[in-house]
Amino acid sequence: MNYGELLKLLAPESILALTLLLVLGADATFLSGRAPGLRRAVAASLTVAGCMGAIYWIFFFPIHGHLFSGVLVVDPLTQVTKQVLLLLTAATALLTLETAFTPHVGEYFGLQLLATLGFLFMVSSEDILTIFVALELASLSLYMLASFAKGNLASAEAGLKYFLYGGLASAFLLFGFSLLYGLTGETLLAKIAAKITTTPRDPLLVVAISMVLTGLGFKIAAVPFQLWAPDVYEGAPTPSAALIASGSKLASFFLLEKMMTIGLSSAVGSGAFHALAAGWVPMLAMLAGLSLIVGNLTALAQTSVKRLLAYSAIAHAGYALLGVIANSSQGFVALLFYVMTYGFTVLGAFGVVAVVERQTGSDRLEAFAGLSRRSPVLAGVLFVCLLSLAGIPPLAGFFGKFYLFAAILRAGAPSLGILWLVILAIALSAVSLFYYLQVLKQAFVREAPLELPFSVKPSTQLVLILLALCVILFGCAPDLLVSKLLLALKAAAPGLVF
Amino acid sequence: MPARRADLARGFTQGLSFLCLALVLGISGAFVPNGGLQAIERHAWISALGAEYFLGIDGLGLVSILLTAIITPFALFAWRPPEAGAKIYYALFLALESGLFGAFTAFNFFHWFFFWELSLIPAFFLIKLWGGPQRARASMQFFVYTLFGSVALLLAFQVIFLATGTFDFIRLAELGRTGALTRALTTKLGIGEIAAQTMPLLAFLGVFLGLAVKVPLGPFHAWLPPAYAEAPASVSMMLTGVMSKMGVYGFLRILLPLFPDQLRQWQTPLLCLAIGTIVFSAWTAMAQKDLKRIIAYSSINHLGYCLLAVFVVVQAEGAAEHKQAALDGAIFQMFNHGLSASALFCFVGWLEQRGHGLRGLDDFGGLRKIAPVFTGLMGIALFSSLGLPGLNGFIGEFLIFKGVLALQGWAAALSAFGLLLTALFLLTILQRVFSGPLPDKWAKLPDLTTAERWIAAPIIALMFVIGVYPQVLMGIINPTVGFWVTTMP
Amino acid sequence: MESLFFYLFAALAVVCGILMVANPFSRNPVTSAMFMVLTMISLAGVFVLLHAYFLAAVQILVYAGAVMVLFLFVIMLLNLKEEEKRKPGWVRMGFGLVSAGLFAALLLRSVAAARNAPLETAAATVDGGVKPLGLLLFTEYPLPFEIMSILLLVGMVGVVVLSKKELK
Repeated sequence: MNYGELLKLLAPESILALTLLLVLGADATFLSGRAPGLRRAVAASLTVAGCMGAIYWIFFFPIHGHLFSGVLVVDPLTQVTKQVLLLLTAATALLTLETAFTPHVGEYFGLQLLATLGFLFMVSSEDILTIFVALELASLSLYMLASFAKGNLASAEAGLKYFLYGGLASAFLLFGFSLLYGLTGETLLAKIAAKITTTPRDPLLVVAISMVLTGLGFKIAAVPFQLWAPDVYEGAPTPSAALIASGSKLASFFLLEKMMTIGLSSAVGSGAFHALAAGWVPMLAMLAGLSLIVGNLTALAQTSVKRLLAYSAIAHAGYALLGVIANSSQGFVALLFYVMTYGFTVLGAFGVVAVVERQTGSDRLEAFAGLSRRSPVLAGVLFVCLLSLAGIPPLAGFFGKFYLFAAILRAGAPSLGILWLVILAIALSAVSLFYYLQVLKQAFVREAPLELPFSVKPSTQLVLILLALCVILFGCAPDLLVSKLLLALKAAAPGLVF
Repeated sequence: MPARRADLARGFTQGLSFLCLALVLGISGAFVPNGGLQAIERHAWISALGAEYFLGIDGLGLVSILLTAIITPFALFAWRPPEAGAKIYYALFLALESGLFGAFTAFNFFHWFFFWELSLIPAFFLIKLWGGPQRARASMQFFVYTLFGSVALLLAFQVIFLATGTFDFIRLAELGRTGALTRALTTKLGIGEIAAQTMPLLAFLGVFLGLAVKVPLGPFHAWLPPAYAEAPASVSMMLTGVMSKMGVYGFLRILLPLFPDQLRQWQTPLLCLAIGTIVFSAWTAMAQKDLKRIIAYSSINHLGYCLLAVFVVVQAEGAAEHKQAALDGAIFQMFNHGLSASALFCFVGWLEQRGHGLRGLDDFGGLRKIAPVFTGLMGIALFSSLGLPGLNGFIGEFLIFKGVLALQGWAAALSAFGLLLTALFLLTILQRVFSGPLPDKWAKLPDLTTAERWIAAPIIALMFVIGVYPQVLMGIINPTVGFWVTTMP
Repeated sequence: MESLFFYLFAALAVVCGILMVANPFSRNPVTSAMFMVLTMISLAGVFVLLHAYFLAAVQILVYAGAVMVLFLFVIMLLNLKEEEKRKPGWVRMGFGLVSAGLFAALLLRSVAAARNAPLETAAATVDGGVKPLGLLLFTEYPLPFEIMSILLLVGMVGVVVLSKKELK
């Protein structure tokens, strides 16, 4: 064991940690008492610089390795995922400039960085102890971020709800982990998997799996663990909600996929309609089906756009779960592509919501009336993002869904037993278009009560346009990302090749 | 200021549509009628899915894009949206045109489906935003039906991809011809024991449903009359002139080569569906009072002939020349119906403008006295639609009936009823609207303006040209159809 | 003998845990806090039975000592009233009961199964002193240890933000 090695492998995380100290320090010392706008600008630029620095480091120093036999895993796949996570955080930081809900500027950006640190650790660990600690790091930061608007009761409610549900979920997860440890005496995912194969199938394992799924299901907001999501998305400050919806989703899904396909690779089971067999696949299939139904149908009745996005996030968790259920390398890549592009898309949507909310004081559907005349750029970004969420070509969401369906059917072949879930998903994605169209109808058709143009910061415009371009680019040329992910997956640990 | 910007948008869009027309004409100039695929562009797109960027045209494709390129500028000139929001209207129109071009030239399922779906969204918005009073319901119905069809298509092709590992239409056609596709679907896939045998049938049904909704074939047509009736004239023209052809195109390009065995097995019920569509849509059209609805039902009727031809040629017995005639006729009918139906919608749109929103069969009368040019041109379009010899509509229907009569006489005999009924209700339009006493309130109804005459003239001229000299299209269509017929199992 | 103590401590922990959240006799937060102390102490007893002496000591010192003192301090400082009784809706109640019942059935079944089958993985024999724990932390698990330090920073930042008075 070599601490130098550890430092090398953890360089991006270290850069981020240093940035965090810099942000906190700068805000507490020479910026204290200055105008909030300046403080926000400095903190945001530091945050973006830190994220970019970490991305460049990963890009130019592609070091890979396993430390402590899997407690820390750095391979091409984790590095790609980390880069996307860092991009999402940088974009969130820039979008935060649009808002002015707190005087604690340094702390807010600091907590965004801390949450990102948690995401990065979640991605690069295959040891349940480290996974749990990383998850807690991310979760605690997100609880804080959700309740950050102290003057706003809704934000406090959001934070408290998130914290209470999250604490309960953590308890379940920890219980599940301890059962896994008790069953196998191991903390490393690969070793747990090896031990489970040798022991006969134990009901206790079912208990352990369902507890782990409860904990992780909370993180990805899958039904029936979704209760927190609408209130948190609606009440939390918009950038916090954006981070919860994008970065946190990506890291959690990556973790879930690893947990299932590596740690529980010998308790897969079957979700086929005619041949259900115990294991995590039927459980996840159930979660996915419920999320699709509840998310899409409840979203139809929403009048608050943030709440609508929350229910749509629940539905999208259902789609993404299809990739996990596929339990194949294609499924893994489809899942990652889907969640990554979903992150970009939902950030774009939340960015628009943030601006509209700041200018009109509301995120109701009516607040979006006449958006196309008040700010064509915002309306255009919203158009691209929402249609991508609905899965319309030529946007990323279309290909993402197509790929997921192909992957899950291919993984199940020659049996098409999982077809029921695919049919459900496709049918409900048709339903989903209606609520996205509700928003777009307001933005493009309805007249605004007053036609004042929105003032949008150049930085926000730039970020939003870049995000929308990403969504279009990955929709038209998905191979840019898919081939990269496939290569990374192949180059990653042999434990990941199914 | 907004007026000028709307003008700018319109000019730009019209210019682009002419540019497209010029390019398509250029392509048809370079087209070598030899039955093969030409102007191929092929690049790897998404390796993980076997999706390729694969463009090409054969006779069918060329006729379809020609139709698209001709109808789009025609529709753009025929109707102008209100100035507010005109930009969006034109943007959507161009998106629709690009979706159509893409769908008519793609030879890989992913690529094709991409554009198939892409064309759906602008059409939906065009109806929803610029339609008549019932537009919300009409656009919703249109959307739900076509989306339902798309879902079926998507599922079917996912299954086909699983069995064969390819999305390539040409490769799949090869597999379909040799029966390898059916074998692959039967042996490689299944839900349990029982479903394995029915898998080819399920895949066939999925593709069939997706396409049948689009054409539409009864009983999947319920979306069409309200959508056509509520859409503004220009959008109705695109819907009936070009978008409904996507369905027929799909039948010829996908269903016919991929599933010959299934089509053969189900030939009689399918023929009955087609005949039912032909006769009942004509019957329903007789009972309509709204001119747009009448033309909508007549569209269903006309496309029914195309499908009749497709379902007839699948049988093994019968001479190749009859099959050739039927398929030639089907493609001809596609093109002709595009011209005449969009011209009719255009005229009804103009009539509606003049009649202050009225467009009932009984709202007018005696218009030929005050609007002779209108009467003459719309009369030509009506006669083209009912298949008067010398006009374009005749050629397609004649060829189809010639083929069908030789192959399945009973089907031809039954659908001849439809032909009769069509003539009946189209002539009724002529009679009720243009002759008889002129009501006083229409005494000031203006005739076609010079601009309108110029807009309609090229289409009317084209009807004559094709009617008199069908070889212009036949030369393109015939080699491709000949290739299909000779390679049919 | 050991298993007798185990059952004793375990039962005590469970009963006190239940009394902490659902005490039928008192709805006073202070009582709840005191039951929490008892739970912690019983857990410490379980740790002792596992030979994890250091953890047992830490459990008592940190949780039963420091953390609980803070809890009580806050409760008394805020002058919390007795909790109001809430009436849960029947649907929600039924839902909860059904899912809890299913889960309990699953657990009972696994316990029954475990009784028949001999335990395959022997309990790890640990030397629960400070030294082996420290060795483990600094050789095999330095990473989670370091992440914990960042986690504490989150806690600090969070407390500062949440408790600071807004000066307007």
